[in-house]
Amino acid sequence: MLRTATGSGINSAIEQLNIEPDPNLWVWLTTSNSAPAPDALERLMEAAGKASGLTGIIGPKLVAQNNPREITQLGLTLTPLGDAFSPVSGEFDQGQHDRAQDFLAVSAVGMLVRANVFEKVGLFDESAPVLAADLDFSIRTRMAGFRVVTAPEAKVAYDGKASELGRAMKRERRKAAIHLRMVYSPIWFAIFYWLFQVPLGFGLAIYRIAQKRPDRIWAEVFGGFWGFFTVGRRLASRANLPRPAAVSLRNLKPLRATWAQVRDSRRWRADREESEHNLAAFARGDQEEQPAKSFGESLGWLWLFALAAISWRLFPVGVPSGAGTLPLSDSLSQLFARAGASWQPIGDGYFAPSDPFNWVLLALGSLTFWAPQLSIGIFLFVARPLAMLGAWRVSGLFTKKSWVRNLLGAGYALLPSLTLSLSEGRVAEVVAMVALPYLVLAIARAAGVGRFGSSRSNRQTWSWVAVSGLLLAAVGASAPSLLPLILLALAAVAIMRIRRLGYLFWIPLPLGAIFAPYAYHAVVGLGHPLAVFADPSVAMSTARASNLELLFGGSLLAAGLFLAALLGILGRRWLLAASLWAFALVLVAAAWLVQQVEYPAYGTLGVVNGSPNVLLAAFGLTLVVLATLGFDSITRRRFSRLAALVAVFGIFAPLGYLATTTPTRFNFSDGRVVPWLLVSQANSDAQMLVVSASKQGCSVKWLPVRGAHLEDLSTSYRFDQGNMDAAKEVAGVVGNMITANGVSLSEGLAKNHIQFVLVPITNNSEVLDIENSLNSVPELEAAGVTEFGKLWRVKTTPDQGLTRHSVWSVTKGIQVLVLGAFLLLAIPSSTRRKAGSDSEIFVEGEEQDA
Amino acid sequence: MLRRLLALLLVAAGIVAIFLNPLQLSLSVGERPVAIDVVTAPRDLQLVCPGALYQAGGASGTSLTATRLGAANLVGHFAQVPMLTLLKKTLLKGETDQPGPVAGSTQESVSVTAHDQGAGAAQSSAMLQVMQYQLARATNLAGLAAANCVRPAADSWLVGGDTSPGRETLLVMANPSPVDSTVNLELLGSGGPVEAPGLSSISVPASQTTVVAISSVAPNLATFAVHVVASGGAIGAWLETRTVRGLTAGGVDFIGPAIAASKTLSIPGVFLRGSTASARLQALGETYSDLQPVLRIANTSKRVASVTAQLVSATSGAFGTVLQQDVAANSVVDVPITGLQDGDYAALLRSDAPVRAAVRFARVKDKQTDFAWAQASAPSLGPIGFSAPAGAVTKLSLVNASRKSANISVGGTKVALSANSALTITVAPGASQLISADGVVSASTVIDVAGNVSVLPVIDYRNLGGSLKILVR
Repeated sequence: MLRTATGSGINSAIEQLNIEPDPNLWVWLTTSNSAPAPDALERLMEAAGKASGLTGIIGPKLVAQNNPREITQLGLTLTPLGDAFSPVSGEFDQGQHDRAQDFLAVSAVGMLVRANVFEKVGLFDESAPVLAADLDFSIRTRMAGFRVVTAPEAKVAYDGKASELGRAMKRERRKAAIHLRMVYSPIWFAIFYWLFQVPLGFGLAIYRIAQKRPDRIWAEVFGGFWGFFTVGRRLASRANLPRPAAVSLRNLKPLRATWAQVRDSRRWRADREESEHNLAAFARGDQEEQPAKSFGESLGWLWLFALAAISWRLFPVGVPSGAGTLPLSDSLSQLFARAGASWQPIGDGYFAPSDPFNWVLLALGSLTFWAPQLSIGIFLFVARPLAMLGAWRVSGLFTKKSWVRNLLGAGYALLPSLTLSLSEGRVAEVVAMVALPYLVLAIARAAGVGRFGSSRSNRQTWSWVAVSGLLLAAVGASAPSLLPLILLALAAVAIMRIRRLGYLFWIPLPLGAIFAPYAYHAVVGLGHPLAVFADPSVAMSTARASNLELLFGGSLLAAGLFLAALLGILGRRWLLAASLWAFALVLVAAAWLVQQVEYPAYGTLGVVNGSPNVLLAAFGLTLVVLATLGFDSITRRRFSRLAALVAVFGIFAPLGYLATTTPTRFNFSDGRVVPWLLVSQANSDAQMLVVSASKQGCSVKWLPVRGAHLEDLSTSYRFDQGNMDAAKEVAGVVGNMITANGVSLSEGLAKNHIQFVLVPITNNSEVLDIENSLNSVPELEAAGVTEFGKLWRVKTTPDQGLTRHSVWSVTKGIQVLVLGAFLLLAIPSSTRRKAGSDSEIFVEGEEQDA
Repeated sequence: MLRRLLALLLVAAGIVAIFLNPLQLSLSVGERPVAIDVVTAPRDLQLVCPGALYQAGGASGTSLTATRLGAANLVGHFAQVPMLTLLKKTLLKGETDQPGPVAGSTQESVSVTAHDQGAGAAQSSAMLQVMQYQLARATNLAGLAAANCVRPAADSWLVGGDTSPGRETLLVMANPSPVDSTVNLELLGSGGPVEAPGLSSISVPASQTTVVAISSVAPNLATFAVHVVASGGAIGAWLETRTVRGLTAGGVDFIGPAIAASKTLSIPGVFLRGSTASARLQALGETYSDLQPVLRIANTSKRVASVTAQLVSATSGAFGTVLQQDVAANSVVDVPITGLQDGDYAALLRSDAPVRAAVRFARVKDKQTDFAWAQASAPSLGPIGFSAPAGAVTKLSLVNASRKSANISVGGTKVALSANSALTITVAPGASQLISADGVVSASTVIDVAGNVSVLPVIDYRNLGGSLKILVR
């Protein structure tokens, strides 16, 4: 027996042995972290004695060190694609594998090798990654004409390499897979495989995200580069293959794993993971003793229909336009160009990060990708049912009672703040209000908070993390004023569930990706840090609510919900309720503060105040949760009925009345933002001036002729004076134009690509004067009265080409990467069908390998 | 339970604290966009006058064309400022601008232009203002017709007129520009827009006048307003409306362009006289129905306008009245003004949608009748100028529709005008005077020649220019 020093390789040990190539001599290899059974060598030698002269390697049955009845590994092979595969691992040993079998390979731990094998096939390949060395050696032995068999009666306790390799394990798995493919594939395939190593690494990283295995992303990318840059050593390893081979790899196909085996193994592993999670959840007491009724069983659909009926004014008979909204562009590529953009088509071009909200608009537009304009109208119509569904599920975190969930879910969907935002078409606010309950639910699931406890598997947790991340990005981009408090709540959850910090840590990533450039520009570029909290999209003033209205969530008609929420503090979970009330009052205080802040408006000399609506909706959602806690505490059936009756008349009826009687302030249009004549010239650099006037002065919007769609609005621009030199030049042109004083305008119009002048129809005398003047300007000709105003065309400006601006930038690339990754991670996948992969199975097997 | 009650008390304390919060913050983030000051020279102030009355059918009443009757007298004021020259042009083919006096008589339409060679004079009606008047005494066309000379416009609303049997309305359009103009008309009646042939593509050649007989294209229409939209050169537009009772002329007047639609309007100059005689004549039959004062309201908005009109009196002892009327979207209504004694009145309108309005009232002297259309007058701080014809009794009707009293100076005479009230000042014949005030007031002149009446709103003429604030975003 030779014991080598720790850290020295197995080859040096064999070389030191100076073994005679005697076919009757056997060499037994074992490692210090394995514990062979006392009779292991004896059983192996018995098997060697019975073996034919062709048997080159005999492997023992590897079992778990803490449980000798669990087989950690018995033989190794390759999948049809050439990845390593452990056909038997993690199984309970009932003697089902106690028959000696031929395998393609066995682990080096406890391996008994006939002495002359080393002479025929050489030693272990030192170029092979640590997890591929034994497979490589065994396969070469096979190719030299020897058999590789197992002796299941010989047992060696060994838990695998995972404990030795630690975090490097994932990388080593990937390296092993690459090595085996490069060495044992035909040379043409190996070269082809090498050429595509790096892109393949990135592709696999994306696949891992889709598999909810973000922990493996780095291993895949690293593996790609490692394989590409160490190609010489892989090719050198090919030289170690026996030549000529007594048995070709093709002839060893019966020893390789079949697809059926691979699939069965995946299923088995997914089941095991799920059951381990369930057992752990059960041990924590997370498991529901009795599941609550589903949405259908609770007759939630009836409430959805009722809410849709209440929203009849919002039925999308066209594209919403006016008040708080504008039509979206009719092209998805245009929406994509504006999302995360650094250049925006305002005036002579505006360089600044576009609103993060544009990503939300892109997401909304993608839902009706064939006509993105339709999405806003449809979304506003289904906003109440969607909000109800979200609040229904949030309420379900705290109660099983269907009537409570239905009633309070509907209560949230009818909150005065949501009603106001819907009636004015404030898309950003409605997005935030609809997404908010889903965000709360997703964070609760990711953090394992609430009645359901944690999710069923790590993959589901990753899905919830990704959903939370995307929803947080959507809410933050739509209602920045709510962000500080959401992040505060998230931090509180993370502290309460510190063990989940590893998951929760990632939730703000998409928000950071889309918000950081915008926030940086506001703080550093504009020097207005508070501009970060300005409401995006159309700038509108909001009537300042009184203190009492704020406390009731925007309207006194919501008093019923407020009173029901007070019940929560008298219920069983009074401490939780008191904490929630504290948070709710902070939300009201924030709403009060926000409505006092004034921001510059668009294109006018005015200002708008911050909108408290989303903060009030968050307050309303907190009240919904508090009321849920209160109603859930009512145990007596008789009192429950009474409470339900009071809630219907005290909460649902007044809020329903408010929602039904509040008129919409926007119209439905055909989706155009400029007259037809201009639509036909949209694909050019031609600019237009939209001139309006009041007693305070004249206001000119300088736009491309395609007009300003919802995604063209820039909140940064509201805080930016823009290019003053260009603005002064245009102001001079406009001054001479609206006075029609005979000064030549041709040069100024041509230089600034101005081809049209539009004067919206208003009845004030200043505008009538401007119209009179424009009619007298020789450079202009009247082009008719349109629904957008009176239009004049510049007579002499030649047709404009179109300057293409790249839609990509470094920041946008990062944003796309992060959002794409989170989207992939968020898409639910069935753990049964998609669990694991070839190398993943190998991983599990390799962990018990020597 | 004690701890729960304590928690409840704490929460209640928080709620009460928010409820009682007396703070009001004023936190402003970022700067407002900066409007750019642009100094531009305004275009020369040009006014165009309609010229003498047209007589449809000629003197015999059988001609197919409308011909001028007599001549109109021009009255006005032009400030003699260095670098400023008054140019005058008769709107006939081939005529050009020539220096000339502001006053005189004319048969054809004329334009007057204050040509500013230095481009530095402040434009206003104190610099240039012109009106015309004409007393007609033909058998089928008699009465006093006065008109303000106006700035040419591409878009004008004319509120007034009647084409019922015995009433006639002509549209007079004068184009002082060197560019031909094509005019489209929109006729808005009590039931909405009136469809009629011949309302579109009416040619008004450069430096010429075109007359369109509204009575021909839309006969039997008692209530309407005309929207004149010109493309090409800007034009001056007036309605000339007359009444004939059998073979006797019953009055004539010019109706000038209305001011911009507004939710608050002031119509000064509703001076009622001879109401007893008027009532006696009205009792004789339908033919005298136009002696009844009416308020005409044109609602060109897309929603119903609820209008309240208050007739305030400037005469002690005479009480006003209040009228209320809903006006359907895109329609015109006449509201009879009844129960008023003789006196000097002004109408103050408040509406929930922008409207335009005018008041028609009549004068009866013996068997002679004449009527006038008093148009809404734009509120102004002044100084605004007006002129009184030499051969007429002219009174200035002032009204303060604001909520604050105003101190007004008229030609050096100072008067105070309390909120929501009217005032009448007699003006010396032939004088041109300035009105200035420390609050916004509206004014009209009421001109009376031998019992015939006309009302002209006092207008401040100015083209855009000077120091303009322009916000480019």
